[in-house]
Amino acid sequence: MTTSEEKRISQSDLLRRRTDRRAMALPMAGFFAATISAFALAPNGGKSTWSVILWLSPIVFVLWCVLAGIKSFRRADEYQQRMQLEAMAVGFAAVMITTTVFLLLESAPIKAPGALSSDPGGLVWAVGYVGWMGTIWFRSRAAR
Amino acid sequence: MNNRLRELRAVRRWSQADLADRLDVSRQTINAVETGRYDPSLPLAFKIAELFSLPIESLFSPGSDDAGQSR
Repeated sequence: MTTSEEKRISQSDLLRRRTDRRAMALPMAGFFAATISAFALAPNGGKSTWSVILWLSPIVFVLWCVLAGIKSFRRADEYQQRMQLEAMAVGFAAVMITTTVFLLLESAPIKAPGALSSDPGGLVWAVGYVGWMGTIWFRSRAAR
Repeated sequence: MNNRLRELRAVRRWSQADLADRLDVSRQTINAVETGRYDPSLPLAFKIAELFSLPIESLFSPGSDDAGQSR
Protein backbone atom coordinates (compact mmCIF):
# COMPACT_ATOMS: atom_id res chain seq x y z
CA MET A 1 0.00 0.00 0.00
CA THR A 2 1.54 3.32 -1.02
CA THR A 3 1.71 6.39 1.17
CA SER A 4 -0.43 8.34 -1.29
CA GLU A 5 -3.07 5.62 -1.09
CA GLU A 6 -2.93 5.79 2.71
CA LYS A 7 -3.21 9.59 2.66
CA ARG A 8 -5.88 9.93 0.01
CA ILE A 9 -9.16 11.64 0.77
CA SER A 10 -12.16 9.35 1.24
CA GLN A 11 -14.85 9.39 -1.45
CA SER A 12 -17.47 10.84 0.86
CA ASP A 13 -15.08 13.61 1.90
CA LEU A 14 -14.18 14.32 -1.71
CA LEU A 15 -17.85 14.62 -2.66
CA ARG A 16 -18.50 16.81 0.36
CA ARG A 17 -15.60 19.13 -0.51
CA ARG A 18 -16.76 19.44 -4.11
CA THR A 19 -20.31 20.23 -2.99
CA ASP A 20 -18.98 22.80 -0.50
CA ARG A 21 -16.82 24.48 -3.16
CA ARG A 22 -19.73 24.62 -5.59
CA ALA A 23 -22.08 26.00 -2.93
CA MET A 24 -19.57 28.72 -1.96
CA ALA A 25 -18.50 29.75 -5.47
CA LEU A 26 -21.54 31.82 -6.39
CA PRO A 27 -21.94 33.80 -3.13
CA MET A 28 -18.18 34.47 -3.02
CA ALA A 29 -18.21 35.70 -6.63
CA GLY A 30 -21.23 37.85 -5.80
CA PHE A 31 -19.49 39.27 -2.74
CA PHE A 32 -16.41 40.29 -4.71
CA ALA A 33 -18.53 41.70 -7.56
CA ALA A 34 -20.64 43.74 -5.11
CA THR A 35 -17.55 45.00 -3.24
CA ILE A 36 -15.75 45.96 -6.46
CA SER A 37 -18.93 47.69 -7.68
CA ALA A 38 -19.10 49.71 -4.47
CA PHE A 39 -15.46 50.79 -4.85
CA ALA A 40 -15.98 51.62 -8.53
CA LEU A 41 -19.32 53.45 -8.28
CA ALA A 42 -18.99 55.16 -4.90
CA PRO A 43 -15.25 55.23 -4.12
CA ASN A 44 -15.55 57.92 -1.46
CA GLY A 45 -18.57 56.48 0.29
CA GLY A 46 -20.99 59.38 0.08
CA LYS A 47 -24.10 60.06 2.06
CA SER A 48 -26.79 59.32 -0.51
CA THR A 49 -29.17 56.41 0.07
CA TRP A 50 -27.89 54.88 -3.15
CA SER A 51 -24.28 54.75 -1.99
CA VAL A 52 -25.26 53.31 1.40
CA ILE A 53 -27.22 50.55 -0.36
CA LEU A 54 -24.29 49.96 -2.68
CA TRP A 55 -21.80 49.66 0.19
CA LEU A 56 -24.08 47.35 2.17
CA SER A 57 -24.99 45.15 -0.81
CA PRO A 58 -22.10 42.67 -0.16
CA ILE A 59 -23.90 41.72 3.08
CA VAL A 60 -26.50 39.85 1.01
CA PHE A 61 -23.74 37.63 -0.31
CA VAL A 62 -22.17 37.27 3.13
CA LEU A 63 -25.53 35.96 4.40
CA TRP A 64 -25.62 33.60 1.42
CA CYS A 65 -22.10 32.42 2.40
CA VAL A 66 -23.29 31.85 5.98
CA LEU A 67 -26.20 29.71 4.72
CA ALA A 68 -23.79 27.73 2.52
CA GLY A 69 -21.52 27.36 5.57
CA ILE A 70 -24.38 26.00 7.68
CA LYS A 71 -25.25 23.47 4.98
CA SER A 72 -21.58 22.51 4.73
CA PHE A 73 -21.48 22.01 8.51
CA ARG A 74 -24.50 19.69 8.29
CA ARG A 75 -22.82 17.67 5.54
CA ALA A 76 -19.63 17.23 7.57
CA ASP A 77 -19.08 14.06 9.56
CA GLU A 78 -19.20 14.04 13.36
CA TYR A 79 -15.46 14.59 13.95
CA GLN A 80 -15.30 17.44 11.45
CA GLN A 81 -18.36 19.02 13.08
CA ARG A 82 -16.69 18.81 16.46
CA MET A 83 -13.51 20.43 15.12
CA GLN A 84 -15.55 23.18 13.46
CA LEU A 85 -17.44 23.90 16.69
CA GLU A 86 -14.22 24.11 18.69
CA ALA A 87 -12.65 26.35 16.07
CA MET A 88 -15.71 28.62 15.96
CA ALA A 89 -15.63 28.87 19.76
CA VAL A 90 -11.97 29.95 19.61
CA GLY A 91 -12.75 32.43 16.80
CA PHE A 92 -15.65 33.85 18.80
CA ALA A 93 -13.50 34.17 21.93
CA ALA A 94 -10.79 35.91 19.89
CA VAL A 95 -13.36 38.41 18.55
CA MET A 96 -14.74 39.05 22.04
CA ILE A 97 -11.28 39.56 23.53
CA THR A 98 -10.19 41.92 20.74
CA THR A 99 -13.43 43.88 21.05
CA THR A 100 -12.97 44.11 24.82
CA VAL A 101 -9.40 45.38 24.34
CA PHE A 102 -10.67 48.15 22.06
CA LEU A 103 -13.50 49.01 24.44
CA LEU A 104 -11.06 49.26 27.35
CA LEU A 105 -8.68 51.40 25.30
CA GLU A 106 -11.61 53.61 24.34
CA SER A 107 -12.72 53.94 27.98
CA ALA A 108 -9.20 54.74 29.20
CA PRO A 109 -9.06 56.73 26.81
CA ILE A 110 -5.96 55.48 25.06
CA LYS A 111 -5.60 56.06 21.37
CA ALA A 112 -4.90 52.90 19.40
CA PRO A 113 -2.12 53.33 16.85
CA GLY A 114 -2.80 54.33 13.24
CA ALA A 115 -5.94 53.23 11.45
CA LEU A 116 -6.94 51.04 14.41
CA SER A 117 -8.07 54.08 16.35
CA SER A 118 -10.83 54.88 13.85
CA ASP A 119 -11.30 51.58 12.05
CA PRO A 120 -10.76 48.56 14.32
CA GLY A 121 -13.37 46.44 12.48
CA GLY A 122 -10.85 44.97 10.06
CA LEU A 123 -8.55 43.84 12.86
CA VAL A 124 -11.44 42.35 14.86
CA TRP A 125 -12.56 40.42 11.78
CA ALA A 126 -9.01 39.24 11.01
CA VAL A 127 -8.37 38.10 14.59
CA GLY A 128 -11.64 36.12 14.60
CA TYR A 129 -10.89 34.57 11.23
CA VAL A 130 -7.33 33.63 12.16
CA GLY A 131 -8.56 32.17 15.46
CA TRP A 132 -11.17 30.09 13.64
CA MET A 133 -9.05 28.86 10.74
CA GLY A 134 -5.90 28.56 12.86
CA THR A 135 -7.69 26.24 15.27
CA ILE A 136 -8.95 24.04 12.43
CA TRP A 137 -5.41 23.85 11.05
CA PHE A 138 -3.92 23.13 14.48
CA ARG A 139 -6.50 20.49 15.42
CA SER A 140 -6.38 18.68 12.08
CA ARG A 141 -2.60 18.71 11.60
CA ALA A 142 -2.05 15.30 13.24
CA ALA A 143 -4.64 13.60 11.05
CA ARG A 144 -3.25 14.84 7.73
CA MET B 1 -11.25 4.69 25.18
CA ASN B 2 -9.14 2.01 23.46
CA ASN B 3 -10.11 0.42 20.18
CA ARG B 4 -8.90 -2.26 17.77
CA LEU B 5 -9.63 -0.35 14.62
CA ARG B 6 -6.05 -0.15 13.34
CA GLU B 7 -5.47 -3.85 13.99
CA LEU B 8 -8.68 -4.95 12.26
CA ARG B 9 -8.03 -2.63 9.35
CA ALA B 10 -4.49 -3.97 8.94
CA VAL B 11 -5.78 -7.56 8.83
CA ARG B 12 -8.00 -6.62 5.89
CA ARG B 13 -5.22 -4.57 4.27
CA TRP B 14 -7.42 -1.51 4.13
CA SER B 15 -6.02 1.99 4.17
CA GLN B 16 -7.60 4.60 6.44
CA ALA B 17 -9.22 6.04 3.32
CA ASP B 18 -10.67 2.60 2.39
CA LEU B 19 -12.22 2.30 5.82
CA ALA B 20 -13.44 5.90 5.66
CA ASP B 21 -15.09 5.12 2.29
CA ARG B 22 -16.89 2.16 3.81
CA LEU B 23 -18.08 4.16 6.80
CA ASP B 24 -18.95 7.29 4.83
CA VAL B 25 -16.72 9.51 6.95
CA SER B 26 -13.50 11.45 6.36
CA ARG B 27 -10.05 9.87 6.67
CA GLN B 28 -9.34 12.41 9.40
CA THR B 29 -12.10 10.85 11.48
CA ILE B 30 -10.64 7.35 11.13
CA ASN B 31 -7.21 8.68 12.04
CA ALA B 32 -8.58 10.49 15.10
CA VAL B 33 -10.46 7.38 16.28
CA GLU B 34 -7.47 5.08 15.73
CA THR B 35 -5.10 7.35 17.59
CA GLY B 36 -7.55 7.76 20.47
CA ARG B 37 -7.98 11.51 19.95
CA TYR B 38 -11.68 11.07 19.31
CA ASP B 39 -14.26 8.61 20.61
CA PRO B 40 -16.89 7.91 17.96
CA SER B 41 -20.58 8.46 18.57
CA LEU B 42 -22.73 5.39 19.25
CA PRO B 43 -24.19 5.35 15.69
CA LEU B 44 -20.68 5.39 14.19
CA ALA B 45 -19.43 2.80 16.69
CA PHE B 46 -22.31 0.50 15.72
CA LYS B 47 -21.58 1.09 12.05
CA ILE B 48 -17.94 0.10 12.62
CA ALA B 49 -19.02 -3.00 14.55
CA GLU B 50 -21.39 -3.96 11.75
CA LEU B 51 -18.69 -3.49 9.11
CA PHE B 52 -16.27 -5.79 10.95
CA SER B 53 -19.10 -8.15 11.97
CA LEU B 54 -18.04 -7.96 15.58
CA PRO B 55 -19.87 -7.01 18.76
CA ILE B 56 -19.24 -3.43 19.75
CA GLU B 57 -17.65 -4.40 23.08
CA SER B 58 -14.94 -6.38 21.32
CA LEU B 59 -13.97 -3.28 19.33
CA PHE B 60 -13.95 -0.68 22.07
CA SER B 61 -12.82 -0.92 25.67
CA PRO B 62 -12.40 1.67 28.41
CA GLY B 63 -8.92 3.18 28.53
CA SER B 64 -6.81 3.75 31.64
CA ASP B 65 -7.52 7.50 31.75
CA ASP B 66 -11.05 7.05 30.51
CA ALA B 67 -13.72 9.29 31.94
CA GLY B 68 -15.92 8.97 28.87
CA GLN B 69 -14.29 12.04 27.36
CA SER B 70 -12.56 12.35 24.04
CA ARG B 71 -9.67 14.76 23.71
